[in-house]
Amino acid sequence: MLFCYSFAIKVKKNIKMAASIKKSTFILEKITLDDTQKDLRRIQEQNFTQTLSLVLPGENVVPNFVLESLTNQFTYKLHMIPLFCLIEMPFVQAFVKKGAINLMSINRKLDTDDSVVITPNGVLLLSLTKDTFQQLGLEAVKQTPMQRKQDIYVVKINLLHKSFRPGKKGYNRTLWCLKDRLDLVMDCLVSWEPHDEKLCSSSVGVYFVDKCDKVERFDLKQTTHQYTSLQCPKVDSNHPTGSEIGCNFRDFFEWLGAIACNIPTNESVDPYISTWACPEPNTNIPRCCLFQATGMITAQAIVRLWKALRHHTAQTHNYPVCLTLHGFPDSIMKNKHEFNNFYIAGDNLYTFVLLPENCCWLYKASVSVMSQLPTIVVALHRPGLM
Amino acid sequence: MEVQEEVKSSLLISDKHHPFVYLKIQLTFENGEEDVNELTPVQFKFLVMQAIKETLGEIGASTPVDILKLWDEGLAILRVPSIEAEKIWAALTLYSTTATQKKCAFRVLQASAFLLALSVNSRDLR
Amino acid sequence: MALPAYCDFNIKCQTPEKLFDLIEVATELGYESVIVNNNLQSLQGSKEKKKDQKIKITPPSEILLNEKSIASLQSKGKKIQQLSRITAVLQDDSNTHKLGNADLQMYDILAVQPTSSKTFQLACETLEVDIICLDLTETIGFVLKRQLLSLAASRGIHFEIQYGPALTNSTVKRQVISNALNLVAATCQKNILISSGAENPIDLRSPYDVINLGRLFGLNHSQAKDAVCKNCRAVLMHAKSRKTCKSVVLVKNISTLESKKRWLLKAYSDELSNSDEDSLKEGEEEDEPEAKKIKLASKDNK
Repeated sequence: MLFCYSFAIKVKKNIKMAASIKKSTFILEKITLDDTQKDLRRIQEQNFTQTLSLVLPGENVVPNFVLESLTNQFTYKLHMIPLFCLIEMPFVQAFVKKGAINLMSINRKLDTDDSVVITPNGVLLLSLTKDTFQQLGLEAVKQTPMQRKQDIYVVKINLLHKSFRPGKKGYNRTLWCLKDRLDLVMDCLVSWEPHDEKLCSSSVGVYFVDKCDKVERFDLKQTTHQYTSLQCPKVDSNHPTGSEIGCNFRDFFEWLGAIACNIPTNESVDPYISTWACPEPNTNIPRCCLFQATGMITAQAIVRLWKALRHHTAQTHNYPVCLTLHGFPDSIMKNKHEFNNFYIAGDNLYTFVLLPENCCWLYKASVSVMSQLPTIVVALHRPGLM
Repeated sequence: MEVQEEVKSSLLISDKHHPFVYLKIQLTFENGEEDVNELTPVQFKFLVMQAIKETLGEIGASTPVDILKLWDEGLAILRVPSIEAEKIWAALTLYSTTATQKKCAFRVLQASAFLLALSVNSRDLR
Repeated sequence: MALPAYCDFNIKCQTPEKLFDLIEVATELGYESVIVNNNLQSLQGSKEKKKDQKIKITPPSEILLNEKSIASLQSKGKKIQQLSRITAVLQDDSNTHKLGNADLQMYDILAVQPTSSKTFQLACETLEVDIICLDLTETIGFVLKRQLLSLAASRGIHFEIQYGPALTNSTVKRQVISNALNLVAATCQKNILISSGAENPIDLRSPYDVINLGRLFGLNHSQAKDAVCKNCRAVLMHAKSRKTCKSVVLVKNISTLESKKRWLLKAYSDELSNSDEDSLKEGEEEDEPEAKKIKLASKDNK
């Protein structure tokens, strides 16, 4: 039983991911912030971010650069957009080929509804239920075991493929399937990063005005919370599993969660109610600021924020600064490479912790398959046991 | 230690074992009979323990369950050991009447192995 | 067509106001279709009275909500679909022919509740029903034979577990869980539905709560999820194929063909090229995707 609670730790010299690590749902990666820009690549992996939360110890208010880097991009909500509009040539030529487009359907459950995304690299993905898939008549990519269990099919269309244009057989068939065989209409969020600074990112909203019912500006919802006097655990960047001067990486992650949920860290709580306490060793920080923005946040915006954040923390750097990206639970892709799936949750988190000495911890946490959690172990087949 | 030798290079730790599961739950009473806003954490914990005891018995009730946070409207975050998580969830689902014969229901809104995930209402975007 | 959305298969029929509240809460919890159940205590008309007196069955339109209130629910931006279901308690095997009555067939879904070993066997082997539900609150008076259950499963019949009664008191709770485990083990975890049987909104639980509850009844993760979504779709398909009688091809008049399916005509006439075009114009055509579906459903059926 004791063994159960000890962590399985795997340390790799050069990051060549072993299969077992890939499947794992909780990964800590230590990144050195140097010219290789590994941190930026990791941010760009995360395409669709629903919520961004930022923990800034030592700050009273949210610095201006944070708000600036998030606000100069427009996001639009398209009401009831027919899907064939998304493969029409004017759209592909103007937005998909140039700049970076982010589009995804909203208010659609990944496990029981059809949904769509277009990633910045010009791939349209449709996640379809069995009924829709059979009626639509487009070819699906190989299913993952989880998708097979849930009867979900993913259709992948590369909009930038050189033979994907009117007149070609594949294009005509796709257009016909989406236009004439089924009326797939969805609510979508779209944002576009222009390739040219002269262009305005609002032109994508203008383009869709007469294509769908209604186009709406979709603003970020922002909340800020100030803490005064907060217990903050100390972190030793070189010893994530815990040492005398730094706490365990898992405890630190839990502490981050506690901050985000406004759980008090330094009040003494009746042990009958809760036994959680701030991990040891810790220090008291006089003030701390928590900032959350919700909406569709693109990777490009986050890169801007990250660069500004690094620049900012280079001057004042006493406590760990944490940036968390919450992926959409219902988006088709978890990150650039993996499909998401939704069993009872679709959590998909990337957390960057900026530490001294040009060092950064990256947590990747995702749980969507409940079977990865320990399960009921009572012999249930014998009635009367309960 | 092995980890110390690796200090300078990149480091990758993967961890499949999640010691805890966090549940965001809401307690509702029928027809608003009781004001959930007036519940103290102690009373809330008592109701949770009663629910567990009713279905899982004394052994189930010995599970350490922490109430990390209690908001208005009966919203709370529970922390339970992941081995017992499904059973405790089921026990909360099957709870329907308080000791004073008032009808109520615990509804689990979100469940996750990471506390950070509960800070966002996952399917709440309109 | 019915998506495999979350579905509650048993909501007790009652006054429209209460039903509205119930369905409203169900949509808030995330259900996308609800099925309103009318319980029929006996198929038998009482013998003492006049011969011609029939049992009275409320038509489904009366137990469902009217379109106006459904539309008001849908206007909040959530999908909701309501269907009707009748559950007949089988006291003995003499009156089962009445299941074919038009009154009963008007309901979307037909369920039976066998009370004895004999009626249970009958229901599994021959009766044309969609759901068999057993009274799990008391000891089932007979052995659930695996062969019978797997026969019923191969005919596309599903078995229902109601968790609603388990919310009342601890004796009933124990009985329900024990019977449910028994039933799940006997069916080899296949063709199980979990429904609420709720009378009050407070008795409803969200789909994810129910999935987790399914784990307690001995289902694995994906089976538990199927019990509230995939299997429900299968039942609806089964009900549909039961009504259209056993068929693999649906014949429709061309004039009633939806515009979206016109391409079938073109594809068909291309195939025939020059020969039989006249007969085509007269107007009957295979409706391919529809036919495919019925085929699937009847595979379950047989």
